[in-house]
Amino acid sequence: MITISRKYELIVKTNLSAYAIANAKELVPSAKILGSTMGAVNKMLSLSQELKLLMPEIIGLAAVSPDWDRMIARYWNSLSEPIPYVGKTLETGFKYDLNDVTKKEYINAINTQIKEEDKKIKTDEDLKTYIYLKLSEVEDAYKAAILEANSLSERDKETALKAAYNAKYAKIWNIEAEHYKVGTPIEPFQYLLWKYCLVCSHVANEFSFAEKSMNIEFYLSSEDNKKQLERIKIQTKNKAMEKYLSIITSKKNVADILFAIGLGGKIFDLAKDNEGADLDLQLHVLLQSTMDKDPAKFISLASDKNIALKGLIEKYVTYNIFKRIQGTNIITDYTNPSKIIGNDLDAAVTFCSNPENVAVVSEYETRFKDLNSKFS
Amino acid sequence: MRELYTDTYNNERYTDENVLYKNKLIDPVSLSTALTYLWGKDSEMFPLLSLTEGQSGLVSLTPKTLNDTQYTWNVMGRMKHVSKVVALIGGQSYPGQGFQPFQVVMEDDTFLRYYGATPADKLNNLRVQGDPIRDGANRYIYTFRINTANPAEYVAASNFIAGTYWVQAPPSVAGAYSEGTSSRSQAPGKWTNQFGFLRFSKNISGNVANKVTNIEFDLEGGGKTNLWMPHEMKQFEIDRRLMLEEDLWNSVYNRDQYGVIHLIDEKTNQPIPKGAGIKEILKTTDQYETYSVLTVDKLDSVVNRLFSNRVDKTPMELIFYTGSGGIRMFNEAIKNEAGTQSYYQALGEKEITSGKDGYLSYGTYFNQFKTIDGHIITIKKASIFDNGLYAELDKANGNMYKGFPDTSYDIILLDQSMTSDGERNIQLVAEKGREILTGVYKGLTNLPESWGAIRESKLLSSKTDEASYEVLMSQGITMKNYTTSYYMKFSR
Repeated sequence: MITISRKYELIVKTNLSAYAIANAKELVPSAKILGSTMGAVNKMLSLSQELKLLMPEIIGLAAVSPDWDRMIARYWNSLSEPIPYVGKTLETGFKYDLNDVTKKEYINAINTQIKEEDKKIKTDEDLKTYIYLKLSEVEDAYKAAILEANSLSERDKETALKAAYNAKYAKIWNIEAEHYKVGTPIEPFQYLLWKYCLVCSHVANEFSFAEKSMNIEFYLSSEDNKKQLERIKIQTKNKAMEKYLSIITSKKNVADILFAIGLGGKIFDLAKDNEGADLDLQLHVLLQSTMDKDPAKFISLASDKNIALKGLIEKYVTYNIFKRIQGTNIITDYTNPSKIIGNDLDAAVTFCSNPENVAVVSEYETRFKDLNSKFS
Repeated sequence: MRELYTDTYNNERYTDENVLYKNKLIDPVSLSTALTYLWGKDSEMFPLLSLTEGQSGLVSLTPKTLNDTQYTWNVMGRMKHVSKVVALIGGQSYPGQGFQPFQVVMEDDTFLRYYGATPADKLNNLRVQGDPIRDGANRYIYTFRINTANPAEYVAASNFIAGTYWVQAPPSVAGAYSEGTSSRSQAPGKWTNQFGFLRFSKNISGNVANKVTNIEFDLEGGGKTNLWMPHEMKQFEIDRRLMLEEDLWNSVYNRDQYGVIHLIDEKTNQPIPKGAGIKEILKTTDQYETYSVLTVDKLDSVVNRLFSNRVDKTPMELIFYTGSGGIRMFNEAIKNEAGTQSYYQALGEKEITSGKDGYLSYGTYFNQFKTIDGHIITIKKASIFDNGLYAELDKANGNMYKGFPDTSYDIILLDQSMTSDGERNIQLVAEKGREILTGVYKGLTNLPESWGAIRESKLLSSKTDEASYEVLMSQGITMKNYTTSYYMKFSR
């Protein structure tokens, strides 16, 4: 028999309301209650076979009892688990034993489905590998999906990240639904509570998703998870650096990105005080600090196919060809503010790309060129 | 809206019995109380306003400074004996082993010299050796020693995770030459909330004040009228009450840690204060959890948790407010429990009774549950959970479960007892002198009788054919002791 520990921390999300801050001194240390939700309870109740195997020792009732279904539903609907602010450790690891008679039937069924002889389950280690191989494939797919999402525009990135996250945990849920067939949880209640958390709408399955919704009150964290986040952070930084190195080969590209992210005023000031190589250097420093501040956002900006046009529009705003109405994102013609170019930068891009507006866009180009600025 | 039949107003034919609005005759605060009584207590639509304003539970306060609507109240909590670990000094693998002292940084100096201490896992008995040494903000270095005869005993690493609480134990000293110890007292703490301002206006123009309709409307004080304006004003008042009631439940405190309010009026740049409502108070203080299908176990655990917070005299009857969905959940929970205990016959005898004319009647329902400690839990329907603004939102968005909006299943236990100082636990708070202010902005439009003595004035505020009835009020809520109230949110 082999035992593989896999610990998760269930942590209360620190989301101090202004009211909590105002009364921080008087708040008595307490725990937050993880309650039941209909969706998560129903998901748990759907694991009928697994619950029959793992829960008799938790609720003290045999699975053959006529009250079984009612008592199991009552158990999960009554969930009221205090989670200390310091976190609660959940041992979700398993014991794998090829000689466990309760697993024989399941293992035979799995082996029947595996065609290659060398891949059939023959050892305790194989039992573990059967699950962990699938889990690692899910992790790899998730990592790849995150990297790909980071190169998308800000709006698309959020959607892609959410889709990758949902896909990952739907797959993990399915894999874990088979886990009991090849092993026995070290701590059955903690393992089941972890599974409950995976499908509970008030729990984020990883820290990076804890802030994605006001509905989330807890998040799961594991050492693996932390390491994975660190790996993704470094990979994202490397990719951002690649983009940076390719951008600085062109003066125009550098200016386009900096203008597009709204640094027009700063560039205008730098251009007043610096010339030639000095100005280039200053702009590179500015670009680098933008990259360091948020590498993922930098990648998405650098990959934006409209970045040159966005940069141009912001140049127009900086050099008074266009005007942004104070306190809004609305961009208008500078000399004729009633002529709206767009309600925001994206809408202005649509306006400037529209073939019907070629004549007027070309007039703006001429006006800008006539200014003879360093960025014309 | 039904089509209106119009007629000219005639004083002889149509008498206006709407005396409540004659606000020159009635003090505005009493007026407000009377309205709450009429439309609040009777209809159960406004449980919070009925509990507070409707039962003289209104406290008027004078702001300390202009625009500062904060108020505080004293709370005497239970003596605090726990202290939070910051870190173990030295990082040894087996702290305390071999009778060796070890040092721990604690977040405060709660533990006193020579007192005992118990770490989080309760597996060791420790003693504080000497006074703590202050090592910066929120850092106090303590020296501990294990009280044991076993040289192998040590304090497990899990006890030193930052944020873990340890508890103080009784002081132990030697039989001779011992030094005196010390003790702590606890001053009352201060809780803060703030009230906000709400303003409602009713605008009219033309001769609507004198229009009568071909249908009769009920008057709030009893009786009927064919006049349109009393009916419209009744709608205005009921809607205003609804908004006020919802605000007491759902308002969110909006002053940041530096005391700045970021919600600013776009015209005047004046801050708009809002206080914490009942839901935010209970969520902030962890008197909150979600539920899916109500069970007796869940009710038990909530009640047990509440009473572990109180050691003094506690109310014996607990009122849980909920909507139609919640009372059905409650009934189902008790019936399921009775089923589990095989009380089929007893239940059946109560459930199926003789009806009229030889027919049988099916259906009796639970609305009370008595715990082993003698506490009676009573479930009470409050229509705001079924028909309030959040319920309306749920209905519009299709957030329905078994025919009721999700909000209808939310359950809130409000401790409405008197506190030990003889005050109501839940109080409505308002600014002194500005609890409720009413006035009329008068143009050339005829004013209805219901707008009070102002209608007699010949002075105009506007040249336009218009007029408006204005109400400005201040409102906040105080829950003096939050530990005996609870919020169970239905979650899907």
